[in-house]
Formats: sequence, structure tokens, C-alpha cells
Amino acid sequence: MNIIKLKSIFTPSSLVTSYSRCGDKSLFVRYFSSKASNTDKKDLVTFNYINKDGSKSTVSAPVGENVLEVAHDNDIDLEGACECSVACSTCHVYVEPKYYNMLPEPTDEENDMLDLAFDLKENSRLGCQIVLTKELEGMTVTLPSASRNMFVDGYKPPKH
Amino acid sequence: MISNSFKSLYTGRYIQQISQYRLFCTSTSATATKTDASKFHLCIIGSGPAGLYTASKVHKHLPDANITVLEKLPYPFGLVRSGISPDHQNEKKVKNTLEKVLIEHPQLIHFVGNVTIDKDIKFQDIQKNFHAVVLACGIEGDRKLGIPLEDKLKNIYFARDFLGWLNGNLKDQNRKFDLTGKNVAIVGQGNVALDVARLLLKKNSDELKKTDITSTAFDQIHKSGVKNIHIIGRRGPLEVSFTNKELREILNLPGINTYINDISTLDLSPEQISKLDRVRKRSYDLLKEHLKPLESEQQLENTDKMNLIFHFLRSPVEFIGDESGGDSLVGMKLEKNELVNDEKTNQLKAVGTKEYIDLQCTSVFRSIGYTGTKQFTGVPFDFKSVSIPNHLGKVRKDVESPEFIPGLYVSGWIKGGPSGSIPNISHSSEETAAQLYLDYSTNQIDLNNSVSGEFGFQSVLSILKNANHRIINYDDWKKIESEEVKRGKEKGKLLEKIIIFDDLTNIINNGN
Repeated sequence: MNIIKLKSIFTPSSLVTSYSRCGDKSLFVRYFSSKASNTDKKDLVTFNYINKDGSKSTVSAPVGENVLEVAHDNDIDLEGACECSVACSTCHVYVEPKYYNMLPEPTDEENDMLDLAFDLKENSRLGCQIVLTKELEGMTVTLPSASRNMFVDGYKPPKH
Repeated sequence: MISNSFKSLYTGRYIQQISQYRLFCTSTSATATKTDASKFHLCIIGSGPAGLYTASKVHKHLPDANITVLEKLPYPFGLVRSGISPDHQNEKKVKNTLEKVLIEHPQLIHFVGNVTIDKDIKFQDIQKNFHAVVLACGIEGDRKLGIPLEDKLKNIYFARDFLGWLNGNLKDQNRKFDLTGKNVAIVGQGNVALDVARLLLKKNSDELKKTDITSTAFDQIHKSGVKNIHIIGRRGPLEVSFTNKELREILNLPGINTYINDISTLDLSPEQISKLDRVRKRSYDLLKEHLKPLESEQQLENTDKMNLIFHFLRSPVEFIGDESGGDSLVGMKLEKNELVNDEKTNQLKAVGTKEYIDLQCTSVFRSIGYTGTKQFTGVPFDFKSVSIPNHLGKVRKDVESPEFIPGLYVSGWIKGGPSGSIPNISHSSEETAAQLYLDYSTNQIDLNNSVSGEFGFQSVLSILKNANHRIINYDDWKKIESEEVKRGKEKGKLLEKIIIFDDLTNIINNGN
């Protein structure tokens, strides 16, 4: 039997991560501004990521941040190769349908990038284009994975 | 039973937890032992996106593994540096993601540049001195049209060489591109064809001038006499390989006219339109919105603007030289095609109708794909799919063989064929890294050193040192880069790339 134990971990914004950031805000400013806003619970949105290995991470982040920035702040392995300039689709995620419908329509530029996304689905969006609002409270976004099925039991590695 | 509670498998923060995680453990109890990969030596050949993505993804699985990245050029990043068009700086930002693995782990992950396999170091010596090897060196060999006079006439180029030249790639710096003529033709309907067209259309762009395009290349494009750019494809507007981003960008360039050779190819019934998939529908809408019919040559003359003309359903069948019989190109003979359903593949293919037209042009860029070259002794190559036969990144002993070559992996274009951009390469590398990790965890990689003495990175250094070969390491590269930034600043541009090898070595030696 394959038990997927869902584990919720709240990891605060950390200084140690060196992932590239979106926009021009420095690490220093980002760290302290997000700390400051963390104190005001009203402006926080709590939502979930399903990681590439199938596990779940629950995070809280301020309204106005995007799903890619928040992933990097929380060491979620979502890539952002073009640093939020809508020139790649490495931050592609699947959004739970109920919440997908709440999001503003993707722009032509975002759609152009989604055309190229790995394993595009009806509920695909770019993480950098999903800006947190209060109504996204409880949303789940799933990271596409090229290796998830390799890490479940029953998988037999090919023989040499 | 397996637990998936290892939230942190891919993240940097919980590296300790990852290494304590045993892949095939059958209980959730904390009996796992630390995976010690400090004796594991991996060599990755190629430092483009495939090579560096693979390095970083293997590092996430095996944080103490030793990884040596070999590169033919004196600098890392492959096509990010020398293939992505200079006016696409946002796409080039992936360099920052790729470079992280070299910055963060200087003791474990080594870049060794300016090393050509089988010339400077034998492939067998690499296999002997590493527990596993990942080939991530892309695909070489550009496809020719294979039509009369192709090898005889001047001014017939490969688009990829042109991109390499203006991107400052050392191997392309002795090439000359004649851009003086009014009519240029580009054969092929992929993004590289659009890159060439767009750069020629931007000849007066101050923005382009300020990028990392070499000053020599920009000056030549700026002075070019090109007025009409003809993009030629054997199939129709619904079969193009352009991506919608690139199509939207070029069709919206200011101050140009955009034409189509036969507007009737865009006449679709509502029913036909409704059957198009998402991507096709979006590119159809773009073409329909922006392309005007080209009714006479006169239209191209009666305007001060540059013209971009899409020729669909046309195949070049012959190059045309000037009347004197010399080597000057004056045009191409094109055959009109029609689309016929190929019963074997169930895809539309272009079939010639024996009806011909001549197109005037004095320079031609070919961008119709890659042939591949067999690069490594003892490693099979499938020329049909233009890749090394593999399963999830493990190299097969032969094209159809169910058996694998132990310890040999592929990633990127050489694994899946020469197409796909950063997101595809990232996934390709993730898959290969996961496969390699599984093999490592299940003891399918032989960790016994077959030779005594030096191994891994040190052995590569010794071999190259004994051969008196100059290598370029990561610190050397950073000296070059900072000089490029400095020279760029002086000229008001992003970078001025160093395009002479001796200049590179002088900069490294002088430390400035």
C-alpha cells in the first residue's frame, strides 16, 4: 500500500535562501518588509503547495506577493528562470479549479508561455502571475514533476 | 509501504534530511542512515542549460557528490550565451539560475572549460576516471537543403552560425555575412528563423545596440542594405514551428509591413477553426490578424518601411547563380507544394506540384534543423531521432537494445532530440538526475575505482596538465566576465564580449 503522508510545514521567510528574487527589491528589504507585514495577520493568505515529490507544504504570505516569490521564500522547489519577466514557463503550476476561476484571465504574453509549458493542463498558470488576494485563502497549487512517478513504490529501475 | 513525508527532497534548506532519507525504506521509522556520496565522482560533459541543470539537480539528491563539468568553449552556459538572441535578455536571465550551482559549491562542483573531448582528453579516460558520466553537450551538425549549387555559391549560411557570430561565440568570429543586398531569404519556420529576421529588422534599434551583441555585428547589421526578408516554409501557416511568443513579437514590430504569399491559405471554415488545438488556434489568430496579401512586387518597392514576407507551401529546389557562371547568388527556384495526408504518420506533408517560381535574393540563411554527429566512441547515436538512444536518461547499448551502458546518462537535446527550450531542458535534467540517483541508491553504479591513485576531478587536471593544455576554470571565467562588463560600460551597453582567444588568456593572466 502506498501511503502518502501529507505534511504541513510552515517555514518563515529565510535569509539563507539564495534563489533569485523577482523585481528590484533587495534581499534585505524583502526580508524585513515581509517580516513587518507578517505581524498583521489580516493581510496574510494561507495556501498550499503540492511539491514535486507529492508532499504538501502549507505557507502563509502577504497579500500582493506572487506564488513564485512565496515559493522561493519558503524553499519550495519552483523554478523562476526568467525572474518574473514572463519569458519562460519554469514557474508553471496547476491551480485547484475552484481557485483557478477566481484568478484574472491570463494575458496574451502569459498564454504564449503556457503554450510551451511542460504538461499543460486546463488549470495551468504561471506562478509569477498569480498574485495573492484574500479570496485565495486555502488554495492549493501543484508543481508539475518529471520524476514524481519514480519515487513511488512499485517502480522497478531498469536493469543494466 | 513507502512514506512520502520527505517534503524537502528537492529543496536546499533541508539538505541534512535529504541525505538521511533512504529511498526505498519500508517504514517511517528513523532508521535511515546518512547517504554518503562524498566518494562518488560524476562527470558532466557540457555546461549549457542541460549540463548545469543536471549538476544542480544531482546535487540536490546527493549533496556531497563530486561533480566535474567539462566544457569545450572557454566559458559556461552554452546556448544561453551563444544561441539566445541578444534582444531576448529576459530569456538569458536563466544564466543566474544555472550559475548558482557553480557559485555555491566551489569545493564540490568544478567547471573545466576549453576542453575538447577526444582532442584534449580521451572519452575512455573520462569513463575510467569517473563513476558516472552525463552527456549534456547538445547536438551539432546543421541540416543542409541538399539542392543544386548549395555548396558552390557564396552567401548561403546557417542561421545558427549567424546567431553565434553576433553573440560573440569564438568559433564563429572568422565568419563573414554579406548583408548588403536588398533581398534576404530565410529557409525554415522555427524560432531561429524568426531570430534572424527580427535582428535584421531591428537594424536601427538603439535597444539592440545596448545589449550583449558584439559591436562589430551590430555595426554590420546597422549598415545592412536589407529591405525585404522572405521566410520560406514547405508547409502551411498551420504547420509552423514558430512559438506564439516569437510570432507575436515579430508581427508587432513597429515600422514594418508583414505579408503572406497566398492569403487563401488562411481561409478556414468556422468548423476547421474549432478543430484547431490551443496553440495552433492562437498562432492562426495572430497570422490572420497581421498578414496582408502580397499581390505584386511593386508593393515592396512603394514603401519606405522594411518588408517581412511569409512564403508558405514553398520548397527551395535550386539555388540560382549569376549569368556569368561565377559564385554569386542571385536567387532561389521554389516549387509550390500542396499538403497531403501521410498515411504512415497521419500528418500533413508537403508534396511538390511541379509548378515553380523564382525568388530574388542575394543572401540565404538555412534554419531547417540539425543532423547530429556521432561524438563519442562506444556510444550509439540514432540519426533518425537525432539523439542518443536512452530510457529516462540511461544510455542504451544500441538503438533498440533493452540493455544499458552502466554509468552513462544523457540530458538535454542529446537525450530528446534538438528542440525545446529552458522548461523542457529543466525537466529533461530533472528526470536524468532522478534516474541517476535511483541507480546510485540501488547500488547500480559501480563505486569501485578501477584505477589506483588519482580519480575524478584531480585526474582530469593531471591529464590536461601533462598534455600542457590550458584549461579555463570558474575563477578565470569570472575575470573574463568582469572585463566584458567593464568594456560594455565604456560603450554604454550590457556587455562587450571578448571575441579573441588570446585576449581571453591575457585577461586571465593579467588578472584585469
